Parts: sequence; C-alpha cells; structure tokens
Amino acid sequence: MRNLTSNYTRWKAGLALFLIIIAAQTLILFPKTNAASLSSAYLRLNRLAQAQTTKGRLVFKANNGGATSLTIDMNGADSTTWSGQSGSVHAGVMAKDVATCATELSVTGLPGGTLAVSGASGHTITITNITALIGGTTYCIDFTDADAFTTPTTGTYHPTITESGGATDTTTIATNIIGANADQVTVSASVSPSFSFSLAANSKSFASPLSAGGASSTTALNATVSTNAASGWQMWAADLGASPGLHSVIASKTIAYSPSAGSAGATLSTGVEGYNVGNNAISGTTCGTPTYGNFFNGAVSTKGSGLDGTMRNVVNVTGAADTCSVPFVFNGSISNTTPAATDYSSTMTVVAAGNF
Amino acid sequence: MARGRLKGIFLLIGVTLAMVAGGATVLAALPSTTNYELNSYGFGSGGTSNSSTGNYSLEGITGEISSQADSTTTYTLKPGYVETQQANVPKVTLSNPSNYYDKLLFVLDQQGNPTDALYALQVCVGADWVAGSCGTTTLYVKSDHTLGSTLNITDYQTYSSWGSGSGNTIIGLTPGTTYYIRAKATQGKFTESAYGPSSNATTSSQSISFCLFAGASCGSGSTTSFSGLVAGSASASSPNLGLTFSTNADSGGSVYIYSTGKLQSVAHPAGIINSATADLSLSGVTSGYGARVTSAPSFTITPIYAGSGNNVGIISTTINTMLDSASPINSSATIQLQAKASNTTPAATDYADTATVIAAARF
Repeated sequence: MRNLTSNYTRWKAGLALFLIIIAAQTLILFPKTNAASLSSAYLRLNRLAQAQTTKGRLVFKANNGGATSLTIDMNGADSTTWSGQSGSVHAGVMAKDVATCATELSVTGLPGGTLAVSGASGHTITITNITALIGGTTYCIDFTDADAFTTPTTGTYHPTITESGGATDTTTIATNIIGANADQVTVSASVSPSFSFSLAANSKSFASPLSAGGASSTTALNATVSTNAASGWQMWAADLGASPGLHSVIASKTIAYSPSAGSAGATLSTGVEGYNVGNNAISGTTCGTPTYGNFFNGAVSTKGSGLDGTMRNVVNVTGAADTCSVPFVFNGSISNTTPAATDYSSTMTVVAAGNF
Repeated sequence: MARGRLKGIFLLIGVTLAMVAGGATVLAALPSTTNYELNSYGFGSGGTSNSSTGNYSLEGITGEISSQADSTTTYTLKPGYVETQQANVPKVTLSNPSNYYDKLLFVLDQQGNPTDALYALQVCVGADWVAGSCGTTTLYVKSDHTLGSTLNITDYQTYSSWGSGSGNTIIGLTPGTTYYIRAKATQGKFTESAYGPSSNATTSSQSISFCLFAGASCGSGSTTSFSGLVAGSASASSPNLGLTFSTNADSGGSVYIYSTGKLQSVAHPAGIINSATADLSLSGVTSGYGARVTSAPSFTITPIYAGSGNNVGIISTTINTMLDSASPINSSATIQLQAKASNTTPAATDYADTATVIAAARF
C-alpha cells in the first residue's frame, strides 16, 4: 500500500514535471506570438506645433474582435519620450465625442454606453467600458478637452496603441511635432477704399408749366452712392448760383427758395411763389441707416427745403452702400403775378463722401 | 581423371591468389591522374529506382560507403550517393527599399531550378542569428507572408508565388529590427536542397515628417497677404503656401486645413470676408475666400480644393482633409489662397485669418 501511494505520488510528480517541461518547451520552441497589429491607425492632433494644448482624434481598425479597453501611451517605444520632453495628456477624466468623427469619416464611433476616458502619468490615456470591438471594423474617438494633449518639444514621437480585454491588438504610430506655430500661416489682407457717385441725369424739368393753381413737382432724380467706407457716407447739396432759386433771364425774375436754406422742410402753398428741393427715402442694394437733413419729405408731395451757396446736408448714412440712391424731387409754385417765361431754371450741386 | 581434377584445383587456387594479390595491388594503388586521385570507390550491391509513395520518391542504393561531410564556408562535400535529383540550392536577397517599418522585400534567385520547384524561407531575428543559423527561434515565411514558427508543406511556394523576379514582402515585422533570411528548394518528390546563403535587412522606424511654409521652401516664411482687394475681383495671396509631407505609413496619410473660416478686420469687426466653396469669378459670388491646391504630385486632392481658376474650397473651423495618400509618400504641395471683396466689404488694412495645416499618417 505504501509502495502504491509512493508510486502514485511519483506518478503525479512525474506528470507535473512533464507538463512543466512541455510548457517550457512551448515557450522556447514556439516564440511569443506578437499580437496582431491594429491597422490604419492614426492620432490626429489638431496642433502639431510644440508647446500647444490641443484636441485630438484617434482612428484605428481592429483586426481581432473582443477588446473592451484601449490604451494610448504617448511615450510609446521612444527613448526620448513625450512626457520627458514637456508633453503631457489631460489628467483625470477626459471629455470625448464619438459621434462627430463617426459622421465625418463614415466609421464607427468607439462603442460603449458608459465609455470612460482618463489620462494619467502625463502620457497615458485609457479608454474603458468599450463594448467588445468587432474585428475588421474601423473605430474613432475625439478627445475634446482643449488640453487633451500638450505637445512636447520638436521631434518625432512614437505612441503605442494597445487593446486589452478580448483582444490584444497593438500598434505603434508616429507623430511629428514641429516648431513653434510652424503649423500655422497668418493670412492678412487689405481691402482698398472705394467710392462711387453718380447723378441719374443732369437736367430735370417740370412736366408742365408751373401754375398758380397749385404746386408742382418733378419726377425723382437719383443721386446714387456705392462705397465700402466702414463708417458710412454723407451727401450734401447747394445752389451755387448768383441768385439762388428758379431764375429767368428773360423775365429777370427769381422764384426764391421757400423755406429758406437751413430751415426745416415745408410744403409749398397754392398761389404763393416758392421753390424747394426735397428727397424721398433712400433705397438700393445696400443702404445703411439714414439720418436725413431738412430736405427729406418722405411721402408728402411738394415738401422740401431751400438751398444756397452753402453745402447743406441731405443725408448721413451709417455703413457701406451698394448702389444706394437718394431720390431728389424739385417743387415749384407761382402766384398770379409771377412773370411768364420759358427759361426759369436753377442749378443744384450735389456731392457725397465716404467716412473711411 | 584424379590428376586432372587436382590440376584444376591448383589452377583455381592460383587464380584466386592472383586475384587477391591483384586486389591488394588495386587497394594499395588508388586510381589517379597527375592531378587527382580517387580516394575510394566501390560497387553497390543493389538498390531501387524511383520508389514512390504518394508524397515521396526514393532513388535508393545499398552498399555505399559513409563518412562525415566535409565543409568550407562556401561548399559542402557529402560522401555517398550523388543526389542527382536534388534541387539546386537557391539564393534569396532581403532588402528594405522604401523605409519599410513592418515588412521587408525578399527576392528569390532560383539558381536554375525548374518552374515547379518549391522554396521554403527560413528567417531568424536580430541577435538570434548566430554562426549562420537561428539560435533559439527559427521562423519561416508562411504562405500568407507572415512569419511563423512552423514550416508546413503549404509554406513551400513556387518561384512565381514568391513574386518571381520582383519578389515579395514579409509582413508583420517589428520596426527597427534586423532579419536574416535563407532559402531552400525542393523539386518534384525528391530530396530538398540545403539552405542557401543568408541575406539580411533591417526594418525602419515608423516615420512622419511635415513642414508648412509660405514661400518657396520649408522654413521660408509663415505669412501670406492679399494686398488691396478690390470689389468684384478675385485675388490670390502672395506668396503661395507650400508643404512637404513624407511618411512610410503603410496606409499613407492626410493633410488637413482649418481656420477661423473668415478674413476679418480688427478695426472694423463687421468687416468680414467669409470662406466658402465657390467660383470667385462668378458675378453672383460677391465675396469669398478659400483655398485651392495648384500642385500636389502623388497626392489625391479633395475635390473642393482641386478646382482650377478661381474655384476655391472652404477653409472653415471644421478640420477638412485637403490632401490624401493611401500609401507611403514623400511629396510636396502648393496651395493658393484666393479672396474676393464685395462692394460693401469695409475698407481696412487689417483683415486677417490664421490657417492651420496639420498632417497625420495611418500606420
């Protein structure tokens, strides 16, 4: 019985030794099989310049299925490491987004209802609670903290990306950190000042002879402005003639402005001599906000103001103008004693300027 | 009669003695010429010719002498049957022609073997290559071009299957590692050759290099300007942007661009020229700002940036792919920025944007 027990013990010991030898041979004869590589893997940092905080995006294709966590080691296989060269990753819980990259790239956002991302040790990002990955599928995740990564000094770094859980795929990638702001170009521009002004016509007539039976108005004559003056533009008008008003050489008669220059706009009265200039609301492709002078008559016919040799403000407009027109209207009325003549005329001078 | 028989016996003895004496003479004086001497030879006592099973054939002979093989570095002399149906010893060359980090190129030299000859490739890794053979770990190129620790009959491939004169790559290798390779051949169902001479090559590290510049070459500047934009006319900034990008990543890489999405005046914040994908030459496009790639050999240009004339692609706050390569690349590109002001774009001299251009490689 003793011998039997002894033999049985020896048999167990022998079996154990045999298994150990087999295991050892397995390790020796069959070298450690490298885990499959993740493929098409990249880490896109939004800034490549040194000493920048930046967001980043990880994309990779899992060759084997089953992984439930992922680690990015920014130090990777380098002897001159990311964290050793003033690089770092966000410490603690990290913000993430898997929807944006999935949409943009038409790949699968890293799955997991309670997906958790955290940074540690200045160089390691661990993603846990991943729903088991599927082999052959490309996944992505955005690290959305503004300081998800802090880039180190210039150089090429080789972070490693390693799955764990049901698969152990891994890969080493490379990222190139370049000089200060060397990933940016400053674009500058100047926009030249522009200003254009035009009158739709250089003459305007009353459609019919003035009558003592009521005031008359011409149709509108547009003064049009286009300018890119950032602070807007202004328009002025004046009657630089020797005898401001409607003047007849034949009759040696001047129908004076009513009201006089500088006065508030007023409506001409039937049977009373008078002449003035009004304007309707500005309009055009782009017109800023106007502030009108005394000439603005809006929708009221025969309302206007007088002119003289002084440039009188017609309108001030804020902002740039694109084909913005000021419609001038000339109003006149006569009395029963106003000398008849066919040469009554006045000359209005209109100017404008941009506020650059 | 008895006398005659006795005479015959003596004659037989005499002949026998003569033959023995003669044999001794032959053994004592080996066949030779002035330059060569045959050290040994013999007559076989039988054998078999092309004795076959399903997988193997044997040219057999018995009675041969046997002794240790004698070798120099280059040649091996083996005694016995001359293996007339043994495949010729093949050569194989291993190289890294394109900074491969996870593969190496091997090219077989079949050394006159017929087209149906099969070749097996043995690989040793780095320091494990000792005294002309693998140390603790012997690997083989599998039929899928990966390395494995077993050599199966399916891992014997024809010269054609191994890529003929162009060769093929061993994949799944470790970066920065030296690999040694040697090949052996077998033809038909007869004896395979010994391994041929070894060749070695080293994988590179994963690499990526990127440079962005405004001007003629890397480092030449980081500013580009539009001077005096005039309403209604598209203008190009000067100088153009340039970039260089190289990577040995198997799946290539991409170059991306993004910015604030507009040229904006500091003095007049309302003064904005928004970026857009548009043909700036069209009258209906009153203003705009964007980029187009004018030169990018070896790259695939994202369509919105591949237009001609005044067709530009948007530069927005979204990081857009501008250039892409699906394979390792070492190239450059030129990017032109264009802008157009409208009639009402406020005049100012301080419009600005910051364009950020980045790159990533897919390993």
